[in-house]
Amino acid sequence: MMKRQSLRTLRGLILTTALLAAPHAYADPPGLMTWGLPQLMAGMREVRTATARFSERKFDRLLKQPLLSSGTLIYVAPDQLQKETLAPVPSRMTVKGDRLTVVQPDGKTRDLSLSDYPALGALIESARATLAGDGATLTRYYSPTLTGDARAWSLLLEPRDDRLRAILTSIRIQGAGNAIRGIETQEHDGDRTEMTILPEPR
Amino acid sequence: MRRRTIVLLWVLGLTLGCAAIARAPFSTDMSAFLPRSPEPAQQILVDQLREGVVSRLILLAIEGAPPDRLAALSKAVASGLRADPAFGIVNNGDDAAFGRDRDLLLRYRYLLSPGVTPERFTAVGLAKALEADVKLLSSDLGMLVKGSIPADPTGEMLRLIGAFSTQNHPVVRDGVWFTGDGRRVLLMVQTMAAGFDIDAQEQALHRIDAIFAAARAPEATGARLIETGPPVFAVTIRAQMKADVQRLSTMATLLVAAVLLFAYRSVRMLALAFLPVLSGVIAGIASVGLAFGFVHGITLGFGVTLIGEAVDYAIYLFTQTAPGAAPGATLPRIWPILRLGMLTSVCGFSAMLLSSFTGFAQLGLFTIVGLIVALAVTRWVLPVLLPQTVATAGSTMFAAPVLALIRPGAALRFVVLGLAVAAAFSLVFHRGPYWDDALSSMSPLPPAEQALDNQLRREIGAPDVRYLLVVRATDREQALAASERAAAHLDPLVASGLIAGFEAPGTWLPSMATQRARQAALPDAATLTSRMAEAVENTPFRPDIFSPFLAEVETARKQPLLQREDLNGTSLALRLDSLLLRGGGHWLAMLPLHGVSDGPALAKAVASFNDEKLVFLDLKAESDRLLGSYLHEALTLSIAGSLAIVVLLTLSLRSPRRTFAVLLPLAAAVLCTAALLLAATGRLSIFNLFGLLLVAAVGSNYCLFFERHAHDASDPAGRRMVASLVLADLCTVIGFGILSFSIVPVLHGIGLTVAVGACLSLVFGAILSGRRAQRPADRLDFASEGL
Repeated sequence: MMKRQSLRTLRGLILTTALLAAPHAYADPPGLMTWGLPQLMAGMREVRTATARFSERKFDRLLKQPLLSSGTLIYVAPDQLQKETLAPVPSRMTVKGDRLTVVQPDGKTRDLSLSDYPALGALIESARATLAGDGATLTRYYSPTLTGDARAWSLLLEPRDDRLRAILTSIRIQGAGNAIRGIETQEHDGDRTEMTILPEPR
Repeated sequence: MRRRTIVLLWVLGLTLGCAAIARAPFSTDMSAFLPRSPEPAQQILVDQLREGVVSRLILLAIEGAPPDRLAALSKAVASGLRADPAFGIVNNGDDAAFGRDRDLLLRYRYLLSPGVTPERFTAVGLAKALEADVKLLSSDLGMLVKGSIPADPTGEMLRLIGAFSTQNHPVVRDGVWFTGDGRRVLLMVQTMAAGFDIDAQEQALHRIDAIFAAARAPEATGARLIETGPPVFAVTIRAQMKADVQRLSTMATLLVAAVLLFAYRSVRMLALAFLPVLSGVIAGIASVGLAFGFVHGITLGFGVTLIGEAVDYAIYLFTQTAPGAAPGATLPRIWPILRLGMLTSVCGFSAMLLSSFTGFAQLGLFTIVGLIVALAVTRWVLPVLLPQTVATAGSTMFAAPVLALIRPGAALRFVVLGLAVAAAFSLVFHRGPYWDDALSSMSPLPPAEQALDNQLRREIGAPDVRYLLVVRATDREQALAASERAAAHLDPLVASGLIAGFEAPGTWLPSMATQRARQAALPDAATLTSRMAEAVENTPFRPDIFSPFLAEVETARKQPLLQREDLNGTSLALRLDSLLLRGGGHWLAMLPLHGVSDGPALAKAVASFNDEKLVFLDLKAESDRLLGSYLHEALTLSIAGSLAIVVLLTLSLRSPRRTFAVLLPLAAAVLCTAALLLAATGRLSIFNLFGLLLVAAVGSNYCLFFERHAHDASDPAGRRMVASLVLADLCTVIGFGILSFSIVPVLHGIGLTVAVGACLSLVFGAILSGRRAQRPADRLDFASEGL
């Protein structure tokens, strides 16, 4: 009983912190009462499949100019994600459970286990767990900070693990309702990826 | 004077025997019961199983605690093991182990990677590599590779890591290996001591237990350690076999002693009856030790049967001596039949002696020497030690049940013959395979432990290799060079999909020639700088980022070649040692082939390489073939042994009719035993087969007596004779029957078969060969027949 009470207090505290960090939400008190990370997650869970088009800009310190690419994204609840790059060179990445399969531009297939590549696993989980509305997995890897409201939200994910923080600084996911509109990944070495997502009517 | 000499000689013999036994090492190595392969390449494989890397691998699993505790335990145990000099490689999936591998691969990547060719380092080749880098960078794996691009734009490291992780390996969580279900953490440990050094392996297992106990101690969780792998099996089997031999021989001795005590009601007679047995056992073990250089645990276990068999001679002597009569007078009368009986037994066991399997040969030699010595002691030593008269009054009561079988005559004979015919039919019309052809059925390991081992092996990702290419060479360099040639042959097969992949020793230690060629393919600093500048021009890469690459290629051009010793302390050493073997003055390179979809097509493809140094091995077919030849040899030897018995009897009895009379019950007993075993277990093993031969060898003793004598309840001598047979048979059945409780399949199989068969031989012998006294001419006298 006591434990439950203190948990509730803790959750209140987190919400308050989120509130302080989010002036927009503060301006809309009824929204606070009805909408937050649990509600966002619950909303995401309702989505069983989603298809979208993406365009991506990759800023890499090794490169003179950003790399541009575009293609489609498919999500099938609860744990299947496919990213098909169509331009400039076709390639495909499929994640299902712990398995990651990449069909490289040269046609070679690479099959790996996410648990072997913690950084990659964390990166994929940021999108997949958000899509799946799996708050538990999300908070296992990251400390989330949600701002905005149901119509236009922004979820900032910061890695919990030291080793992961050495690679990944933050991931910012932007969305509207139960759809993701963009993912911005900031790496520790200054490299950055911006992905814009446009929902595609099925 | 002569009597004293005999006793002195006997005591001297026993003392020498004991001395020989004390010097002979004891072994429980089960490969003694595996075929010795005629082909050297295969023999080295078998030897490797005994002594090689595989034989030193222990798989550990820890379970029974929450995952985070398990991970912590795995790390604690691994660091404890790494600090212990008894262990070589310790792997639990953490970075500590892989870090060393990665460092080595990185340092030697330009000597190790097959991608290093002169073309690769031209301006065109480098531009191509950079183009691929851009693609990779833009792909979703970009994050993984971009850190390595400035130092390794040609992707040699990526290529090596790819080869490194072709094998499956367990799931890594919290930095350590877990089983798929997350209930266990997995560790792999290699002991420094050789696999056959069971004492050292036992020590190593104790160390592991202690390290685990210490790691668990801070929190008394319910975590459990599971150990498996060849060293664990060897230690377990030895302990079990020791316990088994002790338990069985104690049981057999006590039971036989109880029967004899009941029959003779005299401790003195009991002690005397055991003298030939004891002498036989000592002589048997001593001769095995002298002939083979070691005594197998199973041979000692088999000694139990000798207790039951060799005691027969004393039983015949004592029981067939009339109360109050001198046993010395009985001896000449029964000696020829004892000798013939012993010879038939020797015929049977000779088949085992001639077996190409050390284990069986030991059993054969042990029993043959044991029987000869036991009979000799009965013949020459016992009379000296026996009292002038013996009282064996109690023993004749054993005759009653068998005499009851003889009495009905013809009626029962038809029953027995009917049974034999039915048994023959059931054997002929048996559906399904006759022979148990799983090699695992020969292992004394309980199936549960075998299953556990298989499970952990799968989890840890040690693939079951069925197809192998083996190359033989005179030294390491040649073996590596040959393996590289073979790999070049295999690459197209991977491309065509006939095989999914393969491993080769040259991957981890290229031949010196190959390493030198790769070094020569690397351009000097000035050339590489200008070529790289040219290559970068048309790529999106910044031109100034590749200085680490230029520096490291220059280092690689001058670095000393990678030697075997450089691999020490990494898991590459383990991989190499399991692929590159040394044995019998030559080297073997092995190339395990994975993901073979079509075995025959592969065999054809390998044959088309036209390289006589390459041997293609299909291990499954190979072990099937070995087991086949094993069975074939056992069958041939059994038939030869049976024929020898028939010839011996024919020559000795000098009458086809009498030979037939002895053989008929034997044949019936063998048929019925075989049919019973087949019906009960569904399959016959090789051990059953040898057992059936022994049924004929041992059972003939009873039939000989039955055939020779008329039996009548009213005739005291006949009664005594039958009683002696029943007693002897009882003791034999006890000896072999107790063996059927053994955990060792060899002992269990032979024991069960002979126990059943000996029982049936006595009953069938009584019914088919036994005659009631009709002609007074039936004398209990063989001396005149010149046997």
